[in-house]
This record gives sequence, C-alpha cells and structure tokens, in this order.
Amino acid sequence: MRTIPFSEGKSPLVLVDLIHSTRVKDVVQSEYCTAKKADTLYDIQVLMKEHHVGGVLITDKTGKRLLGILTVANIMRAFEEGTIQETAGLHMTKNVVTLDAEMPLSFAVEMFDKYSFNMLPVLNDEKLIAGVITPRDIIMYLLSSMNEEVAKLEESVKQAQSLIDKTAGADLEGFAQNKSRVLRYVTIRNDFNTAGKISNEIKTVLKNMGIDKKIIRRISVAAYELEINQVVHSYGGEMIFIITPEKVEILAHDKGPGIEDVDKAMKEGFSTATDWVRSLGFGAGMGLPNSKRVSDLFIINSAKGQPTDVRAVIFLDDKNKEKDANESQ
Amino acid sequence: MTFKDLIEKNNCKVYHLEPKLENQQVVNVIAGDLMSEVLVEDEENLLLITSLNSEQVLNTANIVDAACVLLVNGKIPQAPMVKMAQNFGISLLSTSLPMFEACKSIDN
Repeated sequence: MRTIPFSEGKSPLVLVDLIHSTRVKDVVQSEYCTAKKADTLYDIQVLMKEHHVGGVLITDKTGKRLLGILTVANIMRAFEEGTIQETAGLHMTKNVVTLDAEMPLSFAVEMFDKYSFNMLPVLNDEKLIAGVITPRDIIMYLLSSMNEEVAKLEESVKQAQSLIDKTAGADLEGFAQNKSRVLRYVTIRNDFNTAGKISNEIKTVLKNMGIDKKIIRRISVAAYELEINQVVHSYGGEMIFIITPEKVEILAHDKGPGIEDVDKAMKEGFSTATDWVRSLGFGAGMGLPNSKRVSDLFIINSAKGQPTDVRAVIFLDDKNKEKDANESQ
Repeated sequence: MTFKDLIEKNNCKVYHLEPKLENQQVVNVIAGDLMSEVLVEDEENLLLITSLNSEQVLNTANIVDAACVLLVNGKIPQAPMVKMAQNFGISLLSTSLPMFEACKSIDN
C-alpha cells in the first residue's frame, strides 16, 4: 500500500504545523444528504444521483442524530440482490466510523488512508451530525492553506534576499579600511533545517583568521544560541558579526514579537518554547543565559510587541577587555 | 579506553571515523538530549552521547569542538547528518545500547 508522503520528521515544518493545527471542523462540509430509515433504497439512489454524492446519512426524525450510512456500494449490492425496493433501515451500515469535529485533521487523513471510505460523517460534542468530510475537502483545504503559507514564505525569502543584496560588499570594504570584517546573515522563522549554519560558518571564518580556539568556541556558542533563538522565537531577523583585531561583536536583531519579561528570559530554565522545539533538543531556557555567560559584554533590549536587539561582545585578548571596560565607563 | 575500544565494546556502527581518533583516549564525556546543556560544557575533545537524532546534534558538536558523537538506542543518522560529520571532521557512531548502558560501558 502506498503511504501518505508526510512524516513528522521529514516534512517541511509549515506542513507539519498546518496538519496539526487544523481541526476536522475547519474542513467539514455542512451540506450533506440525509434520509430516514423508512425510505427505500431506490429513493436513496435517486437522491444520490441528483446531488452527486457517494453517501447518504440515515438519521432519526430530527435529522441530527446519525443512525447509519448508505453508500454507492450498498446500492449496487441492492440492485444485484434485488432488494432495491426495501428500506434503508434494513440495509444501512450501522457501525459507522465517525470523526469528532475537534479532532486534528491528521486523524481524518489517517482514517481515509486506513479504510477505503469516500466520505466520513463528523459529529459535534453532543454527538449530533456536524457535517461530512471527503478526501476532496481535505485536498482543497490543504491546497488553499499551502498556497497561503508558500506565499508568506516567498515574501520572507524576498525580504531576506533584499537584505543580503543591500549588504553585499560590506565585508570587503570594511576589511580594506581598518582590517575589520563585517559579515551579515539573515535568519528565517522556523527554518530549523538551516539553523546553525550561520554559527558554523562564522566558526570557519574565525578559524581561518587564526583566532584562539577557546575564544572561537565562546563566540560560536553565543552565535549559535542567538541564531537558534531567532529561528524558534522570532519572526526572523539578521545577525551581524563585526570582527576587528580586538574583538568580535555580534549584533542580533529580529523583527519581533519581542520578549515580555527580559529579566525572566535571562534566568536559566525559563522558556516559552513549544514542544517541537524541545523535541529538537532546545527550549530548555538556557539560550540567553548561556550566550551571556560566554560573552564579555552582553546587552539585550526587548519588550512585548517590539523587536529584540542583542549585542554580545567577546574580546580576543584580555588586555583589550580592560581597555574597553574603561572606555565604556 | 580508546575510541577503538569504545567501538568494539559497544558494537558500534561507524558512520564516520576520523583516522586520528581511533587510538585516542576517551577522556571527556557528556551525555544528554538537550543541546543547550551540551553548549554549556567547557571541556575539549568531547564524546557526546545522545539519543537525539538530528542535524542540530552535529551543529552543536561542532560548536563545542566535540571529537565524536555516539547515538544510542540504535538510532540511524540520516544522510545529511553523515555528510555534516564528514565536513566537520567529527566521528559519528551508533550503538543499539540504551543511554545508561552506553555510559556505563565507558571505563577509564
């Protein structure tokens, strides 16, 4: 059997998010055909033809409580066996597989994968009929949601590209002027596949510059924690590395949504990370405190609804540390 | 205990092995699934034992200059992870032992 090409670990995060955040009730069709137990199968097949549906819900008098279901397969069998004039009550499927309106859409996808149904009735909290759902409804819903998500992604990639274009060349220029290098990178929200690339690239740059191993490690740790923070908590942002013979300065600037209580966020163990972030090995509430621990100077500015700005400085040798400390006083 | 001993004793599957590592002693070890905790570590030449099977393990290992990553519970690393291990020069092993048993096996 062919499996659905969707997996928690491998599929793009926007899809994982979409499948898990969508409920059956978001997709359910409120228009459906019903019939009563006393109706004949012949009348029901006429109803199916008229409304182009593959299944009819058999309900009680109120039309809200589900008693059974009749599908094209039942009708075909009735024609074959000559029972087409008999009542729905005699031939309907009574043990109906149903979905709850509040279930995640992934349940519905699994159900259609497991059974060969073309339609499933959906019940609300009170076990009354909320509607029906078909694979077509799921496809239509996912396609239109994916359209929206991809449009958002395209927009953020465009924004990222324009930032890169604007700053291209900054590196060489800065290097020629005062032997310093400025490197600028862009982070994209929830892009866990590339998270960590910036920090590892910076590490290689610093290594090639012949900087002390222990200092490189401190810079890399600060960069990595700040990078992961931007990817998992912010709407995306940029990271600028200013490398001079005296120090490396990391400027991490994001587009929001900001930190409500910065003091709290600086305490070890405080985290607002979601479960999937934790499942990837992060979100233990150690990111900011750890970046601060490895930095000689660490300044953070943020507030709810505002961008977060972090400036982390690591000196390349101790003499400079004292000098700069005096300057900043 | 050398890394070679570690591989033999725990019947490790070797996905990438730096030749220079084989005869080195296993000295500094950290075990855990939270990469944030690994990043706090200051020791060098680390052996990182984890059941977290993701690319972030290798990113983290590279940031802290770890020498080797040992995946436990028979985790099979995906192809991009093996590639990262090769690029970073970090040895990548996997054992079917659970975390506790794998840690216990290291004696110096």
